[in-house]
Amino acid sequence: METPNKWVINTQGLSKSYKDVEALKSLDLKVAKNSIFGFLGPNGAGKTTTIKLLLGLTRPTSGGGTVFGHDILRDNVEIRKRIGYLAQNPSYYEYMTARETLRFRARFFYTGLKDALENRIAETLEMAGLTNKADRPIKGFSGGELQRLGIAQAQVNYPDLLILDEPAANLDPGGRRDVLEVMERLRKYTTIFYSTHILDDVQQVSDTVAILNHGELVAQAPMEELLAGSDGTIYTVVMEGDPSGAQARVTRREWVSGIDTTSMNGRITWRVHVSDEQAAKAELLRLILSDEETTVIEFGRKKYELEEVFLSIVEGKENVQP
Amino acid sequence: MSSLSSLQMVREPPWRSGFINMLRKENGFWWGTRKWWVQCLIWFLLLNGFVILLLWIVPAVDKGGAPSAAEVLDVFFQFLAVFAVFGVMILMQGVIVGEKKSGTAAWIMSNPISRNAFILAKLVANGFAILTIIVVLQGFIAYFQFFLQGDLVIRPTSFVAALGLEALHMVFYITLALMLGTLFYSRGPVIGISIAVLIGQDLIGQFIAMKFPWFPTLMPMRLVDMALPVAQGGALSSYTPVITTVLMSMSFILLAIWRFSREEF
Repeated sequence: METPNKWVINTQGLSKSYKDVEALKSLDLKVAKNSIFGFLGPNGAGKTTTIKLLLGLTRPTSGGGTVFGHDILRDNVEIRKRIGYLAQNPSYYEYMTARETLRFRARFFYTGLKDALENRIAETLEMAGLTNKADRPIKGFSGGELQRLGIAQAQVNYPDLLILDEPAANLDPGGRRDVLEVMERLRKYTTIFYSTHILDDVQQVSDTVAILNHGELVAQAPMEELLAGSDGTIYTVVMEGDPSGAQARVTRREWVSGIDTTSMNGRITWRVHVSDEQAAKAELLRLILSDEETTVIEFGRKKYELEEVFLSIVEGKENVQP
Repeated sequence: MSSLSSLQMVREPPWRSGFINMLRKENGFWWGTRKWWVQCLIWFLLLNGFVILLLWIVPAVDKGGAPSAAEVLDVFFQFLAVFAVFGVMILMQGVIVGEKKSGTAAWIMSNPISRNAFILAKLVANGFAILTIIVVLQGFIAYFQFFLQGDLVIRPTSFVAALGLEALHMVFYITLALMLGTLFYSRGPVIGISIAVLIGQDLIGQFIAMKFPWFPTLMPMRLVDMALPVAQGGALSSYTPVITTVLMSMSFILLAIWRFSREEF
């Protein structure tokens, strides 16, 4: 059964409780096909629980959802046929080699032509940079090598959906870069749903982001929308000198809704809240520069960093929904 | 994505999806590593070692004090029942619990494998290996010894029937350990309860038999008592323990499948 719409993952009121603890509260999540979907949240927010529910590794207390149009409770074997999954702390059989591990997983999906299967395994080992260690028991693998093996086994079956739980954990900066490159490369073939704490990585590769806090979805939006913030348009101006004249001129404009001023080391920083972005773009800098008592050091529209947005959301300062 | 077009997708009904691959992996763990010959050696020393001692060495040293071949055969069947049950517990204790504790079960279940298939593959592969190494192989070696010694004439079919009773007795403990593995998260209860069942059915069985004399005939231990007469050409004295052991073993399997289907990873 193919999903009739563009959503690869679609949950409605998905909830999970463990005894008295509500790990996940009525999650409505939509993940579009071929997106790289960053799933963020502090520790214990419910990210791993959500992933396990999607895979059928655990059962929802209430609510439900579909993956590729298949019900997560009834058809989870069908769902797993199209998924590659890297767990947060994966465990493999230590007596097996990396090649045997990939062969074991690949045989859940493929049969017949041995050469084709072995070629696919070799190709995946090479992609993960494990060719030289392919025939060593994984008992002796380092954390980084195990993580590479995890990523390799997750994609040996050409998954339509790659679910990665903290994929860059245990990796050095080079390993992290490699993971991001792999994700970028796979974007055209697959949808990637991944949880992470490394917000720089999310900002770099994700096109959509959801933020979970205390089991609740507190934000889900395209990355651009999230980074634009929900405070309206803000311009940041850094100046030297006496800005009182400029401030009087600027505050008289009806499209200026407020100015937050801070001062440090002789420099004054304004955060100018504007209601008409076009007017601000055309006039704001000109108005400030027309004051000879003021020298402008920096001027620009405020850009949010994901970390800033994330922290403000999980601290409960805003609630963004698309 | 070069090799995708030349790969064929596995097609299995959802209820046993992943069974063949899982079975291959489990068999590989027994027969593709040194585990099989280590186990063969251990069970040869434990079971046939005693037969060698009693059938060949003791008579050579002290002809008057040597047990008869029939007594040695009885010792073989009793040892096969008791030692092998302890062996089953040791071999089966980690089959499910170990995978749950290490996290490998969660990894496997993230693949397109049904929970039935996971349990059944474990049962088939481990059951086959244990019965082959402990019952069939050791039984064959023991039969060959009695044949060479020549004091006791045992018909091959009778001996196979007696081994069948021993095998069924062992299946009871294999399925019990499998079921306990799905119910508990540590190895202690799996071994402890299995030992309690082994010892308890004799002790408690005798106690209950004072009020219900038929009770001991239901117990799997009766299969072991019947093995010697059957091996010597006698008829099966009762089908009751055979039927109750089969029913109890099947119940354990069903309970294991049900419990594992509710397992959360």
